[in-house]
Amino acid sequence: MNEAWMIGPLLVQQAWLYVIAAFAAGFLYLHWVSPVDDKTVREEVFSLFLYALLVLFFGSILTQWNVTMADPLAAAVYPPGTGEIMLAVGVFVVLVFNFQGNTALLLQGTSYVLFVSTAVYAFLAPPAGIQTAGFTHPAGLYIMAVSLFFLVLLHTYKQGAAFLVLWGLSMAAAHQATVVTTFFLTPAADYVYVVISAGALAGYWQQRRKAT
Amino acid sequence: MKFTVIVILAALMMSWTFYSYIQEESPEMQTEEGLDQGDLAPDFELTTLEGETVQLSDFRGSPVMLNFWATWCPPCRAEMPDMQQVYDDGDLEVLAVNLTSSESSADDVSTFVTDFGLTFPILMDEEAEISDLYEIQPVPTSYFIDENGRIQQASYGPVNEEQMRQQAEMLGD
Repeated sequence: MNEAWMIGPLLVQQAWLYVIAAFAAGFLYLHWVSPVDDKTVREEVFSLFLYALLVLFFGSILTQWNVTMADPLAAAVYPPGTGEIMLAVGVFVVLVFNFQGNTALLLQGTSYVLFVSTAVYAFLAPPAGIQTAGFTHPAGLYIMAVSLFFLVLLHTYKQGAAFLVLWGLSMAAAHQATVVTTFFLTPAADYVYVVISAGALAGYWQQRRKAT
Repeated sequence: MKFTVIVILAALMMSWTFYSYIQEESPEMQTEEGLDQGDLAPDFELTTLEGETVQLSDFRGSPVMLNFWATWCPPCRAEMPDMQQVYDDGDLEVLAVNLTSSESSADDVSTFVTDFGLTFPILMDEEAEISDLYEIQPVPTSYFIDENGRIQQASYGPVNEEQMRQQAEMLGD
């Protein structure tokens, strides 16, 4: 069960610590293990995730526009869901399109962080699996397997954008074995990983367009 | 060397995850009341805003969202319309315990309930006995209780409609 602690006026939730640990692992992997050694690209990957996170947390100001008009403070603290994830994916796509450097490398770096973070988060907070015929699916293991499989492919073939598209679709399939669908700790609709995959597809298209 | 370490780490993580799934058992069914997963939710009796007496154990047989809130708390205002929606759809019984001792006036609660058009039971915790019993620190806090009266999840901070429906789905499994 989720735990939380009050440190002075601050509420610290165990689930948040898991997310922080997962992304820390992802960025450490990008820095120390991945072949992405361009400092500018690595910083841009960090910015991409930072902007996406800000949109995820405060996107409710736009997605809950009626609440924002009536009670801005309530809208600002409204917890994120599918709408905010879709908005974050949209911002991600816009930032990738506006990136002036090597888009292929940017998407490769993004993929390293996402694959590693997802695997680590599934390890720290394994999701409940559905039961079929008395068998509980080890859903966390499926998610780890998918992410680590694409991580190996990424190291081998360096096709960040293409693997990000396929990872999204595979994650959508893996989440069929979870009781509820989440993107890290954000509850989401079943189709959210297809939306992420579509965002990656747009990035892939931009990468191809710049290459030609 | 670096890759060998990564491969060993990944293998250990996957093995541990697999082991934790096959070892996983349902939370022990406690016969005593407590606040941990699987514990019977501490029973209580409170008076609603309309003056009716409500007991938590009256709701056995239905999944319950037990929410602790106050009118001065912005996250509580954020989640109230979603709670009403989920209650209207019949996915969860909603019991909203107001921290009345922290309100400047009980009239604030009536105004709030009218403004938000809330129809689920608003329980008035005037002496903070029930919030103490449930060890409430952050507001809002919600406990999700299954049809057998056992706590299955605690949520700190606001919860949106998707989370409430997901919890209802999990309580139904």
